[in-house]
Amino acid sequence: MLCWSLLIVLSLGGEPVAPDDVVTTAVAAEIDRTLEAWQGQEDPPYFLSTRVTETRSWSIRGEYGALSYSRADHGRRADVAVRVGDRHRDSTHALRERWDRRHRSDSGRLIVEDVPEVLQHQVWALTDRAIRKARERIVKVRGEAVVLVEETDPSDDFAPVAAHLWSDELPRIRPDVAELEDMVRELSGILHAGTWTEYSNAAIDIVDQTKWVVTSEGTRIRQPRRWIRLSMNAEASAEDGMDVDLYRWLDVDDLADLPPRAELERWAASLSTDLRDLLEAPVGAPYSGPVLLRGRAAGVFVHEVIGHRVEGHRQKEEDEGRTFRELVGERILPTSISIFDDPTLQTWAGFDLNGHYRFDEEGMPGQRASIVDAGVFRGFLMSRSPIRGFDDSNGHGRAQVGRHPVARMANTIVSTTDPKPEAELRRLLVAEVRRQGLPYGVIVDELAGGFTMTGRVQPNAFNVRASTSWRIYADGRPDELVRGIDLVGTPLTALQAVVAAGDDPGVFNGFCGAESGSVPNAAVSPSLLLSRLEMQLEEKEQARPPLIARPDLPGGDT
Amino acid sequence: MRWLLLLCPGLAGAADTDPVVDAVVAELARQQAELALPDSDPPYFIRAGLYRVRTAYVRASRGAVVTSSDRPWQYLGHEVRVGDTTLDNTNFGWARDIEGIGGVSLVVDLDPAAVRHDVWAHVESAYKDAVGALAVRRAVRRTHGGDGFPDAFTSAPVVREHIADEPRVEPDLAAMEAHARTLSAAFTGHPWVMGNVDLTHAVGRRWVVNTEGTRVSEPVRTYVVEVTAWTTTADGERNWRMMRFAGRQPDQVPALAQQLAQTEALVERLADWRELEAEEEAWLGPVLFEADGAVRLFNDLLVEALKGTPPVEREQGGYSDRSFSPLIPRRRVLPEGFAVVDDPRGDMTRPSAYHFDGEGVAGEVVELVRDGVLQTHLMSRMPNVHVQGSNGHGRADEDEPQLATAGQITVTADRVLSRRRLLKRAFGLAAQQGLDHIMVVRSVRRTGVRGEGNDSDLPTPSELVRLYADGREQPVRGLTWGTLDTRSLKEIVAAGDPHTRELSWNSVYRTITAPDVLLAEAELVPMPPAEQWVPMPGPPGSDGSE
Repeated sequence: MLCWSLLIVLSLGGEPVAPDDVVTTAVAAEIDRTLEAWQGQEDPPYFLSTRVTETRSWSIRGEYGALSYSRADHGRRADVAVRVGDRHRDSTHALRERWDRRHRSDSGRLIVEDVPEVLQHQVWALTDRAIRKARERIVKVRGEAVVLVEETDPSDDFAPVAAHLWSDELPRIRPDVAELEDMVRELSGILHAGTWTEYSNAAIDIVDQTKWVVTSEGTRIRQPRRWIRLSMNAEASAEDGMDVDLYRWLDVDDLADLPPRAELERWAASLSTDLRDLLEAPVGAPYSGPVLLRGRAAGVFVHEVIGHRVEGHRQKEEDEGRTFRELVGERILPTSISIFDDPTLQTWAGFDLNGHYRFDEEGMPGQRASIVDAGVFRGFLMSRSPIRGFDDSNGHGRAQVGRHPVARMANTIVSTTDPKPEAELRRLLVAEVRRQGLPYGVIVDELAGGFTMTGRVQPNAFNVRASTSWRIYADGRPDELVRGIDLVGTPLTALQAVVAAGDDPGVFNGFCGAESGSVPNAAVSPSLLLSRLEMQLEEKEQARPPLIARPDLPGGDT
Repeated sequence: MRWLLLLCPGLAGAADTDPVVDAVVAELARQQAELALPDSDPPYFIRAGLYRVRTAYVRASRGAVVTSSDRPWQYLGHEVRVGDTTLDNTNFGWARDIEGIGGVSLVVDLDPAAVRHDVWAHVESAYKDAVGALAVRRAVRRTHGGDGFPDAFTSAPVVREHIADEPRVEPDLAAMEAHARTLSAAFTGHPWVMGNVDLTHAVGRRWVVNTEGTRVSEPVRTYVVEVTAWTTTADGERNWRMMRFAGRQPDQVPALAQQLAQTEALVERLADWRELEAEEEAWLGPVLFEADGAVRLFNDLLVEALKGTPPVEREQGGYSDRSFSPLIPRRRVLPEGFAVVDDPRGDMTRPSAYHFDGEGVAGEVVELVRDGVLQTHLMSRMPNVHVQGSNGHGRADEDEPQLATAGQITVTADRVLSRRRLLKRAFGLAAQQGLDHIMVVRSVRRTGVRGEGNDSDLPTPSELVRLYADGREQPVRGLTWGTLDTRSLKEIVAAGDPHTRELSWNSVYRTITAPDVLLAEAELVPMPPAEQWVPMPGPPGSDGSE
């Protein structure tokens, strides 16, 4: 199951400089030493890679007008990848008849100080463990090749590439922690002032990273990554037991880009009243009919419906659904709509994009990848794992610390050549509702995330949680806020229902989870009108609402 | 029945007027008075443990820092009991993860209203879980019967006491980093020996309050240096050692030079051990347990069996731990002349020292074994079929059930032999068995490892030496225990000098003082072959390439 939760990332570019630092030197020395030692041996590693991620972070949270915590951390981790065999068939090849943890890398903490001999010793220990596992695994891979039927897509396991060199860094960030602590105290106090709120918090997270990729092919990358998120969350339980929560956030790449305090105070107050409105709203009902997805919600829809299904490696794994594998060159959307994924974009419509990077976790330059062009399906997001008809990486090999890279989304952008104003989309929605003889249609404003299943064992379906939805009545009654319903469906049917797009691109920055872990990305889309989409009741908690009043309210006694 | 008892007036400080604790007490009282699900019991008892601590932590490896942090935290553990003292929701379920018991990180600001809000939300949630658990437990008792189970809870005196602050030495992170670098540099000349040095310095205060009226608090002071080292042989055997220097303040542990000397010696012994050939023959004969080895012998085989809390009652009926068979009072567990006492305040320089346990009960001096005969168990407020009342040994992390646990255990023998006489006795026994040497166990591993072939309650020796009468020593590897359990302790034939070590389980420390002891006969058997793997290349520095 692949899911999208809410987190952040921002990154800035920098001037290219030849990588020359202790980390690069120590890691490269150990790679060279290892390859030399294995020369002439049976089943030596033919490829070694070490990623190092150094993180300085600040995490500051307030609850109920007080400071929950304020932490500063500094750490380094290494992830080692080893390939045994050859690029046609190697130790990373998917096993078809047994489950294993092949996506987990050999990962460990490194010292945060630049002592080359200690760094090299630590990398040695991780590399040794990785070689041992790779040599065990290649035996199983070869065994399956003999015993099992031929695979549908016998593409190579690894694409040869030229080495890349890059070095870049950002000036060290030095946040005014006391001021930020004061800010989250104040904002959390505003959230708590809503007497209906049971739990609430305001938080700011600052992550400043330097990421290295060093490979036996000679790639030497050092690049920075910075993300800053201000977030607010409020939760309460409705009378029927449903947990109702709202989480809103803003991602910036510089603390100076945060809105003024007064504006943040208004956001907090607004979130609190929106929570109250949701608590009082009726629970939605299962529904099938026209749906208008507003910008950010449309971005998440595209991410779940198309995005995960165009990740290249899924097209050759035998347990994957391969929804789009045979649709290259076929029309799957209106001709006015195109979709591409571009990690080189830093901003869109004035918003910073989470999925920006210069090089992916395989050390490959991020490139724009066309997915749908004028409604016609064009291709896939590629890591260095080739698939039939697509041999080369387009710089989408991504992973979190502790995982090996696979093809993943970065900045997924939906564009239209026929943008329609909001009022026109609403008019089209109501017209479609009437045409179908339904009492109402649905506008989805705000999403909390979603997930999709791309495999063959479970239904090849998606689920997108709508935290704020409105019923738009055909007879002109006022719009009605509803809670507790999810968008559900299957990908090809859902795409066939897209009939129009808006002129209001919305940016959804988040973190996406899949087999290579949680990676930052963005989905950008104008509002999308679908002639038919299904909604189902969301999972509902069963605990009774609080038995006694909040202690600071009448009925409490403070 | 409730009591009001003021203890140890010489130790009590000014009255506890902490407004955050006041808020916790007020909210617990409100919850006990008002919480009520329809047709369900209200809580009959609620306890909260509050930790307010500043903790600094450093890890270093081979002379460089891996991580360091220094942060305040405030944590609240809570326990909600529904039913009555004969049958309630606690100590029941699938594991020790008991419904009604939990914890929550509180705001670090000393804000009574914010803390009270968290207490409100979490205790109410725990109450709802507790009601559900009790309903299931009653059904289980109706189905499977309740004979043979002890009561759920016992009474304890109401205590209100505030132990005055000890001198407070604030953590110095830079100094800790320097210390950790220096100590961990002891590994640098030994590429095959891996290891870390961890320093923890915590200062603060802890409170225990309950709805019976108990409100106690005492300082938290912990300064611990841990050296962890491990290596793997070419035939796959892995050895692990840990050395701990523990006090309540930095000046209560050995000086850095002494720590360094001991660390260097430890690393060198482990490096030498790696070069040994594995023993292939079983061995039967006298075994001398020395230092760490003696402490762990008593800890693992005896002290663990003195903990009086019954295991969890299962939803399927019966106990979760089928092997639970507490040592029965008035039966022999050690040879004549041996005594075991737990005095939680025996040495107030130890992090294991405490005035009040996690249930707010004053830690009592407990005579556990007299002249080799078991007298009682270590007890929390959860009774067993042999012992009813708490003796102030209910301790655990705040969000866990407060289970009976050792504090400061001292094992003594009425006849102590000098090392020379102890060895003479040992070699005499060896000669009777036709042996020219004895085995000496100086330490055992952290826990048993699957596949070691160990059929004993004591982990495999990590430092084992063949000792000859002329004083020659020959380190041994590849042997583990045949059969060794609590009954084996009755075969102790002599005792020597005492040693003291600090052991821990999560954040709960215990101190064990025990003498070297000689077992007349124990069996050591070869371990089954491990998976072989020779690293290629060896570590940097091992092959002259670096």
